[in-house]
Amino acid sequence: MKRLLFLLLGICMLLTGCVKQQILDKITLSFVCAFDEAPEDQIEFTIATPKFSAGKSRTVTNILQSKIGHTSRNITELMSLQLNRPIKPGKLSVILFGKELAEKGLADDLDVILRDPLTSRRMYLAVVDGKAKEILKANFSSNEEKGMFLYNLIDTNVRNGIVPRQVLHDFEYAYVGKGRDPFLPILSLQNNQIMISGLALFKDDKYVRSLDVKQMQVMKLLQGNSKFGTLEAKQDNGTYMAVKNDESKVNYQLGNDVSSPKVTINLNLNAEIIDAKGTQLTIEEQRRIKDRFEQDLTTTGKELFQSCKEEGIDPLGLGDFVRSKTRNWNEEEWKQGYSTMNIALNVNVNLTEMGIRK
Amino acid sequence: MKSTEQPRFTISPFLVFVFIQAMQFGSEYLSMSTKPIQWAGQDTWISVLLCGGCFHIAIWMIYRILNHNGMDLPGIHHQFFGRWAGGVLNFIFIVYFLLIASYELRFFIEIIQVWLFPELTTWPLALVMLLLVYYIVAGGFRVIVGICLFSLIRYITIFALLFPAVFFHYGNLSPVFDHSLNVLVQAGKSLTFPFGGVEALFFCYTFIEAPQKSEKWAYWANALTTVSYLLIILFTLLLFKPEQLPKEIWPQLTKYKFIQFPFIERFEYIGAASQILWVIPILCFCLWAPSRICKLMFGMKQLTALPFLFVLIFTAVCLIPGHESIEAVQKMLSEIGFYLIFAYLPFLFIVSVIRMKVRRVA
Repeated sequence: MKRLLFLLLGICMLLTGCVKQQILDKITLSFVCAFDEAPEDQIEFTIATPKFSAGKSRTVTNILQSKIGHTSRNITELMSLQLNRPIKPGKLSVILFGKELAEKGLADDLDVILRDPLTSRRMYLAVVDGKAKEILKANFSSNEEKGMFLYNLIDTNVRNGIVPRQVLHDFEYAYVGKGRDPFLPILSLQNNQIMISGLALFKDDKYVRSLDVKQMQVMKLLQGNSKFGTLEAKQDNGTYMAVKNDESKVNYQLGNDVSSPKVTINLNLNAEIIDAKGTQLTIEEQRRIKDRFEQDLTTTGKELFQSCKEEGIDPLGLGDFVRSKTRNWNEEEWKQGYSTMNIALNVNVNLTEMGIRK
Repeated sequence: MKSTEQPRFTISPFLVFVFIQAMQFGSEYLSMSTKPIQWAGQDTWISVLLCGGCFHIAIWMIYRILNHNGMDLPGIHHQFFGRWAGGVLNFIFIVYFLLIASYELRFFIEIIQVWLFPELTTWPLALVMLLLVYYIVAGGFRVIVGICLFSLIRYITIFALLFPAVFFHYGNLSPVFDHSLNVLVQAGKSLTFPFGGVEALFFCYTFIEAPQKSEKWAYWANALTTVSYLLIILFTLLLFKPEQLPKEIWPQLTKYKFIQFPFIERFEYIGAASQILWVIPILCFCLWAPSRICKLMFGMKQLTALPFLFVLIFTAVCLIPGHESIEAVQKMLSEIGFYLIFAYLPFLFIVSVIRMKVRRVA
């Protein structure tokens, strides 16, 4: 009996490799894919598959595959008919959406990615100003793989820059969750160079309005504590000065009574002067500069609130904040009161350092 | 009937901690957070504490029953309800454990099928797992407890909770006490299935050396389970909006989607495969307990009963086709488990108390 059992257990060892293998050399891994609008409710799906040329190290070229169809998975299947190796989504790190498709809504296309057990929830999404396919066609990354280039582009700007983070998980969180609306960075092509040119604000899953780079920066400051970015403001004498954000802290307060603003946002920013345009930085001068920056940030912030209210969207998650402080919060009531709601913004800039010159 | 087995078959009282902990903390934890959070939202952690408290009382009752009678449940059934009624009750328990074993095994295979190998058919993995389980169970109760001890490695996966920490929204936990007690109890009820497993004490009682001393260890095991579940619920609340959860089947596996290492891109492979550590101890016990009941009822050898149970579970597992039916089985089992703990156990307790009183008077 025992011997039989051991024999059976031994046979189990032979079962390894009985399921389908996926060897890296025999599959196509794509890092980036793009969705575009196509006529008759179809989508145009593009993937850029890397091609490593033998012999020449560190050079990667991309081959573009593009097809029109109803579901991206079926399109992938059709693409496989043209490829010598099947496409696998395991390493997908950036998804681009064409502007027109984003205006119609992204939820349907995101479902396939959220449903797949082999995709990351940390991948970046971006809206492309124009057609997403066009951006992948451009030769913007010289020798680098296009997908990796785009991933690093967004990733560094989110980690050490002024772009607010919105990965796939954040997007779904903001889209499905109450009292919050999603946003995504906008990529655009300028002289064959890709740049993050602003932020696309969404109502539910539909792209409705865009922010420019400056508003995006303020958005990032209001979203959470950050340590990066350079701010610029016009001074009284017409010159521009620049400060570096050393540490910014933001907190939200709920108004207690009816007369006070519903939500007060306090932004505290420790900044270092990095470009003073030759001005002697006396105490009074510093105070003036500080006032200028505070004013500048407040104005941009107010503009931001105003445009959000006009569209009835809430990318900052104010509704969610109020929910967390109110009992029996009601989403409908909140939405009705939102357009006329009083949001106060207090900015406090501290000039802590001024480089190595006075 | 003597109150304990021969010393060479028994385990130290503190191992009850390991054993009960492994029995309670089953793989149901993967999907347990979805339902209660739909009802109780940010207050679900209160339901977890509530449920943990109820199971504390349940363990207390179990020990009272067992200590009064000094024998395990099949013996108690015989004594309380006579040969036939007791036999029927014991038989129900056999079916219950076999169902749990089939469910746990099928659940694990489903996870492997969905997350790792979609092409995998059910039976080869079921066969391999059951062979492993057979090997362990044939070694006796002490080996099963050894496997429970080994399965404690699973607590390493607690570090996986830290990786998505940058996505936590702490505002999701407030306002506290925004739900009525009614809703909290309802949410707590749906948590009884993950907490279930303490009934294993009924069957291993005679295998514990100095069983009276093991009581506190059972409480500690329940406390550890409560804390683990509390962590899981808090984690789910921080990471997800309640509206996101109905769309997730296994929110606790989704957390592995946030982990990226340069050397392993898809950590889900490890996360999903590690579920075996949750499944194996329960599977072992759920094969051992019926074979033990068979031995006590029919006087057959445990090793003779095992192959029959083995075939039964194997057939049952292969007959559960897909996700819908696995959910249905889970629903049924959680109903049975609920009534077992909150109806049958108090009933047994009352009968036991009355018997003691009557005997003392007479």
